[in-house]
Amino acid sequence: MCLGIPGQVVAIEDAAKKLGVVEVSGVRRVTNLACVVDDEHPVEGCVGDWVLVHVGFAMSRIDAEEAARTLDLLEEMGEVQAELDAMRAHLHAVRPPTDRFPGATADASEGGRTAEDGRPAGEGGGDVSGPGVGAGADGDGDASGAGNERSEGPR
Amino acid sequence: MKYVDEFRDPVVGRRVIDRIARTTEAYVRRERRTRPIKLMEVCGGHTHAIFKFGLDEVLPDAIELVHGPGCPVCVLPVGRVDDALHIATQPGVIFTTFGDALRVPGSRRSLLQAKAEGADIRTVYSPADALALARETPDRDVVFFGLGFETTVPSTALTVKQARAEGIENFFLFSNHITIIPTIKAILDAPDLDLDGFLGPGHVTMVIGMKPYQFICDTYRKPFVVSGFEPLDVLQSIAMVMDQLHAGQCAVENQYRRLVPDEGNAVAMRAVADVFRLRDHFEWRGLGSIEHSGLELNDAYADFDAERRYAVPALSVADPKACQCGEVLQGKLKPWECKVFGTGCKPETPIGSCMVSSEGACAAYYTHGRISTLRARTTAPSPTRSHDDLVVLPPRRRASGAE
Repeated sequence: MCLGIPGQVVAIEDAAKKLGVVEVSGVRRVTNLACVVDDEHPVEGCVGDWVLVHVGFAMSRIDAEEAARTLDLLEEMGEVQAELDAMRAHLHAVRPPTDRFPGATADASEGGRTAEDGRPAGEGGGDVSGPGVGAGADGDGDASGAGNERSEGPR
Repeated sequence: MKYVDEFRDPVVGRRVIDRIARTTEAYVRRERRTRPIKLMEVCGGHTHAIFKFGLDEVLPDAIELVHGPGCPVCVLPVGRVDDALHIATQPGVIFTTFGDALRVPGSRRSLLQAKAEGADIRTVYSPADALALARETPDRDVVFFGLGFETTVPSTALTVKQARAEGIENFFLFSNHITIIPTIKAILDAPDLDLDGFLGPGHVTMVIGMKPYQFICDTYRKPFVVSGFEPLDVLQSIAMVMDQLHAGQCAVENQYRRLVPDEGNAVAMRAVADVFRLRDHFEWRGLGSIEHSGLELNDAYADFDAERRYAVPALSVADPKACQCGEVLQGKLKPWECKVFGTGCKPETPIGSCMVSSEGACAAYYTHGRISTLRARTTAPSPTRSHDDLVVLPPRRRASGAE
């Protein structure tokens, strides 16, 4: 009931009642558009809009630009990561081969190096993993900087 | 499907997971942290996504996801189900409900059982369908079982307004609508729940906007990131919470910008304000009575109120003894730690409400549960878990062939 589904407005059913036809994965249904129209964006202008539908009511218009921006940010997270990986490869830094990390309770024994509090890994590869971790922190800084810019409004 | 598939890209997901792992590692090391980082996903939709896509298994072990009470069917107390049954069994009544609510157990039976015994109970997709039914059958009373947080409240409000506009007199609302802010506040005020941050409910926020959450940062100093429901949305939101924790910041951030305007939806909020008012108290399963957390029709729309028309008993009824939904809803107990999970309590024959809706934590664990995870946890319980004495039952998935 609370899971919304994205669909596209394909026709107007009754402009006075603010009813349109929305298609979701090939299924068409009369949908109430009252919550996604106003003076600037009247019912007649809704055809082609992508909206999120909850229980027969379109509750929000999907902002294509913001969707693209979110995907860009996700890609960016990946790019920073790829760059870090390259940097680390260059430094011949070795990291534990799994996602497990210091402080983890279960399955900490996977892989060669582990980790009670990172000491074995920290000492063994202190010099090499040091810069790696540092760069990691910087990288994070960049990416979250972008995130911050994006979300200054709500703060 | 557009706006769905691109937010499920596993390659991008893998990288975001790596990044979460690195931030978490740095944070844990710097803080010398030994207890898990507890993040609550408030909304049942997130719980569903987390288990459906197995996100719990790919996150660092130091992050523990705590499932919140944002599943309207799950928090519906036994007494309200009994009230619904009282209305549904009145002569001449057609009782309409979302399918999710049919199996929620009352003190003696569920709506589904009442339907089998002859009550005219019908499943609808939308409140608009219930109104259409009222239009078509003017000689019967059609009652709509209004359920949900702010996401579904506007659709109910608009439907009631439509009924008034058309002069339809045989349409009634049994309102069990609830509001999110008092609920989050009740969780934050709970003494023994040590949360580090929140994934905020995307679709509720699309209606109410970002502003109402500010107190969570100002007063409680917890990061709060409003999140979408696709796997990449959830992962990105977790990355954003971890970034905040690592940077020692706390802010209300919006990950779900493609659907959530910072200011919310003015049309929807106006419709809600026209039709509803806050109840002094509303009872929740597991959380008890929470002040100003429920909505009822205001005096201007009292004619449409099924509660007034049928004088519901409105009794407070305790949960069945075996049921531990209350602790699950408060995040104190994992579903599989419940004594009856997967044995006495299954989606087909639920004892508690969390096993009913697909957004319920127990149903999500049961349907998408992974035996390996549960087994690993059985042998190596988390240090924070204080239920060591509980016998953990292995999940019997799909033993009866049910999905």
